[in-house]
Amino acid sequence: MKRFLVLSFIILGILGASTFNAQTLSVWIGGHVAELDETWNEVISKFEDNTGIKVEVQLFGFDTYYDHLVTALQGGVGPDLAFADLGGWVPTFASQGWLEPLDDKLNSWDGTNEIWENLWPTVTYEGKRYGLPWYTDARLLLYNKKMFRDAGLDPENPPKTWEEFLYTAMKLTDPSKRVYGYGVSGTKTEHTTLGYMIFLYSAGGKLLTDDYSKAAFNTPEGLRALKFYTDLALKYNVSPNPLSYHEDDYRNLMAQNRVAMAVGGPWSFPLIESANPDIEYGVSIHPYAVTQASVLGGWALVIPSSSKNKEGAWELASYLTSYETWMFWVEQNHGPMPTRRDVARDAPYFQQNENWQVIFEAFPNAIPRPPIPEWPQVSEQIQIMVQDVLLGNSTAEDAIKKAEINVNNILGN
Amino acid sequence: MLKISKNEKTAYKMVLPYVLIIVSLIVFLLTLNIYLSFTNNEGNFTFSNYIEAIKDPVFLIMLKNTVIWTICSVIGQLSLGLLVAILLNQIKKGEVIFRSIILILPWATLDIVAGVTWKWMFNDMYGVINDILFRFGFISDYISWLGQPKTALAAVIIANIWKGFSLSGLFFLAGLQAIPVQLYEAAEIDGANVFQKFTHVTIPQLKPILITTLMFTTIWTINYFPLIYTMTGGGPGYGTETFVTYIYRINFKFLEYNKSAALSNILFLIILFISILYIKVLTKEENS
Amino acid sequence: MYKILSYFLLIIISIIIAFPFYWLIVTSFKTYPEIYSYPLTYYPHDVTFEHFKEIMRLDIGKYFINSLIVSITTSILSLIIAVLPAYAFSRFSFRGKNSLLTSVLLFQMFPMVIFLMPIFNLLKNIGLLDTYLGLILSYIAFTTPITIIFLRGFFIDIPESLEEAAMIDGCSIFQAFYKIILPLTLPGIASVGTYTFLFTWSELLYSMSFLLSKSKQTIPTFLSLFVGQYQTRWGPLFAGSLLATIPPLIIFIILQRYFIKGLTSGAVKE
Repeated sequence: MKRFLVLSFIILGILGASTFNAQTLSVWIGGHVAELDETWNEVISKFEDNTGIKVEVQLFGFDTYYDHLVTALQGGVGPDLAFADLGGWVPTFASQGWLEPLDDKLNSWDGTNEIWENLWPTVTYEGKRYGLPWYTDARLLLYNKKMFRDAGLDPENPPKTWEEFLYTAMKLTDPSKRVYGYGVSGTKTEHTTLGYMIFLYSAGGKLLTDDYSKAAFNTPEGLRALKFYTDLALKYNVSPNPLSYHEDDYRNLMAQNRVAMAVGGPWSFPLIESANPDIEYGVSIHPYAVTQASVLGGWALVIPSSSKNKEGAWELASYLTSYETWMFWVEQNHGPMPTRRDVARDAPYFQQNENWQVIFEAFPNAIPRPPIPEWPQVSEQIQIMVQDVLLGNSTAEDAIKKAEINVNNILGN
Repeated sequence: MLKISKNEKTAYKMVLPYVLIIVSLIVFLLTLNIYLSFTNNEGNFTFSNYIEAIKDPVFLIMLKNTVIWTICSVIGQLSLGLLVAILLNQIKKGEVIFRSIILILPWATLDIVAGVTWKWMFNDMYGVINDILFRFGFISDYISWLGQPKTALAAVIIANIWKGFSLSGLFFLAGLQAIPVQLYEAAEIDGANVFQKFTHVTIPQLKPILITTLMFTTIWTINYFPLIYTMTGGGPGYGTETFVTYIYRINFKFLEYNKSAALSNILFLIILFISILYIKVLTKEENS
Repeated sequence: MYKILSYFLLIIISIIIAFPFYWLIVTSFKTYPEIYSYPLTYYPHDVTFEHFKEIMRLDIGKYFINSLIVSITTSILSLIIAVLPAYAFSRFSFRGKNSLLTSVLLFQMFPMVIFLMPIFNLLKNIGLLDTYLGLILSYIAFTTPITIIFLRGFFIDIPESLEEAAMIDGCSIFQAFYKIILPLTLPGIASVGTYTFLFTWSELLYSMSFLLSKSKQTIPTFLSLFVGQYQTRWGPLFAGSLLATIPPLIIFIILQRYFIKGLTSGAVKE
């Protein structure tokens, strides 16, 4: 018996021995590019061949990635390089002290000037930059050209103003056939916040004050946006039940020719094409009331402060964001949208694709989400606000007032 | 007859190493948890975590959801388990096949597999449940199951009943098979019909199992996390947020560790209270 | 008469209970356009193996093996650790018996979520993060209490006269235990072992957080890969789920006879 126990402990000891190799760089990838595993293999092998550094790549599903990353960073055992969503992750992590500031490295790198200017605020915390934006996107109107044509509308002329938009949506809606004009996102997810923000900014409103210290959306513009956004479903019935659907569902419905317009972006292109190879679609700037507006997103590369190989990590980061790597990437996958202006300008695939040209035109005006550590809580309040109106729990006026109070509380006012 | 010497020393030798380790681990983790719950961001002692946690409007919502979730799941699981156990006890031929499908299949399914399967089945546009209900004329339009708070809660409860009833089923089946046939025969001689046999023989014999199963299932359901997380994430609008999903959200999405520690201590006290209640009832049963 | 009714009801119930599983199987063989098709198809008109090919390409075999290592080791270790305490609780009466038994159950009363960070930090400090051993030890804290309770019940069922007879023949109590008692409780051991196996096989939270290297990760982590940012890749998700369900299913079906027998003596008795 004793012998057995000793033997088991030895075996366990062997099992327990960590095979961690300090020379290997570990990189964690989340977001939808995590699905492009074959391209990652190619790109990483090239790096390994060029530099002789071994890299271990881990791909993650979206929901679990955030929790996994948070757990690891909190415990001080993160990877050497990681993807972080530009929707507020970087400031959140930086405020906890989990990230390495990158200003020195950025200032001496030639690619820094090619990154779109409006991206830097998303990776900045207290004046220091903690991330290198890797890919980005902007939210636009995705629409089904076939449905337009069938309804007698000009597929090359999507609506621009809210009036045109409402008219178009109503013309395209036929509840008896379960066909809808526009998909309103109303789920308890980030999509709803982004949807509202598009309407808010295109009405001339603002989410927070410029210093991100106070709520700024409880204004006539903000109220107008909230009312219109929810009325599309509640009053004009041009949308399926928003509480159950968001952009991705609408994209699938659009592939089935059941929803004519919805919020989408460059990531939507390959996805809608694979759902329906015969789909005819287009993108345009999202319909607006006062000014054209878009919200940007994307992912940045960050280096955890716990990394034992920050130099190597930066080498990998700058390689991944280099002109050559990005040109290759676009050639292989026709996306996503690089954060480098030069690649956007030079890549042949982009030059020949009119949908991408629309994106590049819209992008410089795209607004980032407030880069604050409390963004998840603030975003949640916006989602609750929209849902309260959609559920009929409160009027738009009450909901927006309540959200303003809650957001100000969160921001410490 | 030679009795084994009830040597306390031997007993302690067998028990204490394990108990000491486990208890010290529990004490360590609990102490850490308690410490966290009474600390704020600056590291000072405070009650604010508990106060804020209870004052939060979400607290009452998720408490209500937890109660509904637990009661409905437990009743559903125990009833279905009892029904299935009774039926399986009646047959001999094919019992392996029926047991495999009815009791083993849901239990052997991974939580997250059950979660995504049911999520897909409850899907509005492509969900098979809506399709079947629609085709048979039960509904006139597809229901947005996971998009409305009330139906979402119903959906996760249904999925949970499917996933968890096998445990009750197995317990009850074992219990039924342990009831001596003589008891039924004696009841028949006394002129009892089927229903009376059930209420006067079966139920009393099953009482200890019923109570134990009830306790395990209740505690397990309150603590059960993966299914709701996979299907709805606690939404829509906190519609399916239970105690554990709420603790998880506060901890991971909002990084408010102190508050989640406070909430988990509150949860622990609730569960402790329930367990003590059950144990009291169980010992009273056993002593009678 | 009642038999026919029972069979009839059982068939209906079986169909209803098995349906989700049927749907899982069917969806994993459908093409994407068919998965999203309207009207719904109840069987794949266009059978495809593409999803299975994809998960093979993503190395599901490795995750399978990792899961097997963790689950089997945890089950065996759990039993080894639990057996002596369970025996003691069943045979002896000693001071503090009931309170010790209760304290053992305490762990069961906490949701596992709340111990994630503390155990994570603990493992990190003792250098067991990203090791199978670390994960297995954390699991054992949760699986051994139930194992003890159940094994205790099985031991209670075995008459003490058996040990007494063996001891008269010259065995020590430990020998009597291993040679006589243990073999008789095989059904109980089988039941609890498989419960532990299933628990660890499907556990996501701890395995995802404690096993950081890709080479060590288990099946649930692999499946979570398919819930993506803009879409859930139902095809490979269901294909992987199907494959993941097979081992526990087989073990359970084979051992089901022992469960019932085991449970008869199990949690019922005092």
